[in-house]
Amino acid sequence: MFEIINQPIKVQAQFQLGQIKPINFCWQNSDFLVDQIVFKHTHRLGKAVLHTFSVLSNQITYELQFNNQTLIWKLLKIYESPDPSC
Amino acid sequence: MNRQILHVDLNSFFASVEQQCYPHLRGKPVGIIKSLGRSCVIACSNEAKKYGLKTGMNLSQVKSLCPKIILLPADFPKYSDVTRRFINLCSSYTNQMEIFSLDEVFLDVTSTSRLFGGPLLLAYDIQQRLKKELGDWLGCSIGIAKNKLLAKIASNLTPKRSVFVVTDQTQTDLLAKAPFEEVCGIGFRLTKRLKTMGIVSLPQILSASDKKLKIEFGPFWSQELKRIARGEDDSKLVTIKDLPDAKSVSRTYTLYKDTNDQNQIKALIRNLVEEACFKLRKMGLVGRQFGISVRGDHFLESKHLTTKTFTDDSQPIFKQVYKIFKSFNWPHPVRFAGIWISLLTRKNYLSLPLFKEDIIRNKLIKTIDNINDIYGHHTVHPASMLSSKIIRPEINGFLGDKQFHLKFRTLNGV
Repeated sequence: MFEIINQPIKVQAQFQLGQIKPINFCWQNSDFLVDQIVFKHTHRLGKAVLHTFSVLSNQITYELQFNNQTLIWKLLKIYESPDPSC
Repeated sequence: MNRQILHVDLNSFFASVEQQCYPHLRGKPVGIIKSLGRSCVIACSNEAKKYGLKTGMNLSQVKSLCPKIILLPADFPKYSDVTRRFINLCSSYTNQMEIFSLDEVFLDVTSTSRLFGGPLLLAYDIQQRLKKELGDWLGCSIGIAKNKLLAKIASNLTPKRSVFVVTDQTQTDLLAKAPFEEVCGIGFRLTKRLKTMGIVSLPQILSASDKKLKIEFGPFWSQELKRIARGEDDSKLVTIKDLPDAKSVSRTYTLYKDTNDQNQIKALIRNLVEEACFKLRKMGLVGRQFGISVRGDHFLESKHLTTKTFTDDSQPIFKQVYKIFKSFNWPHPVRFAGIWISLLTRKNYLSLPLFKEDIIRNKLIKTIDNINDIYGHHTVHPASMLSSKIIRPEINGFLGDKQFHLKFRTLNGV
């Protein structure tokens, strides 16, 4: 199920033509390659725009967030299916 | 020439967005609750609906019907962003668009459908682009008809992710099949009253005598019901540009548990007043009628008062509202509070403040609003709110305070 992490992380991302694309990220000294971006959304926190990405890495969904004011990436949540047959 | 109206309805909106976000949830029964600790579901996935789950069911009922249900807290900023993109997508087909709720729009494509090969091809194009641009798990049902009433019934009755075109031939059949819950204009109370008369379908309304309906519903509603039953509706789409000024602004909140703590109740009321006044100021409006409702322990009390002067300042409004609450001598615990401000007018219709302290107060409010705009809601807030967790603004599925969200805030671009 969900695990709320909410920790700053290092992310390698591509910024191109107004689009942000996370490529891989490092958390707890492990590297994770982004296999697929399944969803992204943006919302405001005051003047800051928060870009949130749901990404798949090794069949696990991670929620990453980029703050365009602080330029900090965070790992917000991890979602792992408890039982694939469920 | 018949109008071509589309009603586009995102299927199982909140749950589908979560399934799009978390692929492991796809194909599984998912229920959305407002937040952790809440006791009823506000939306269900298609898979959950197959178990008989419905919006508004309490959790014990939900778990007994579907023990495998996966419950998730709602993420309204996420849903608002999807709505914003959905609106942008739909607006590329016509400028005649009415945003009906967070997941429904009406489009009048009478003059633009030929550019897309007709209304049916236009509808398929919307469905394809929705999957491509918003997410492959998101789908929509589309009803196409000559008016809003029929288009909405059609999209409600058609299977998920499909298109229903209402023609003169299919209209009678559609109206005969439509249960009252799917008909815009026939609400819960009217349905109940009609059922007591033995009327359970639209054709039965048509065959009921005018006299009988007039006695029960009066001259206006008897005619309205006949009109709805015939599938007639000449109402125009209300585009964002056509939205009139808000008539009232409100904010309600249900606490997680009952409270007798007077500081918490005071903080709650102040918090709600602060948010409502912020909305007023953003819309450039001022009001002079202030009301409050309080609920708890199966008791409800509601009252308002009207003043001579208009204001958008939360301090005097809070004083008035809190005075009303005190006048209740409320002996029960509080579970719910709601405040509203009405008798609104535009602030620029009023004369400018003359006295120095009013001018200073106005400048102070403007400065606080600017700080909160830059650093987020309630960054600067009254000390009376310190004793409680701050309740932040949120959008609801029915798009309450529509004018504020569409013209001034949440859905007006990121």
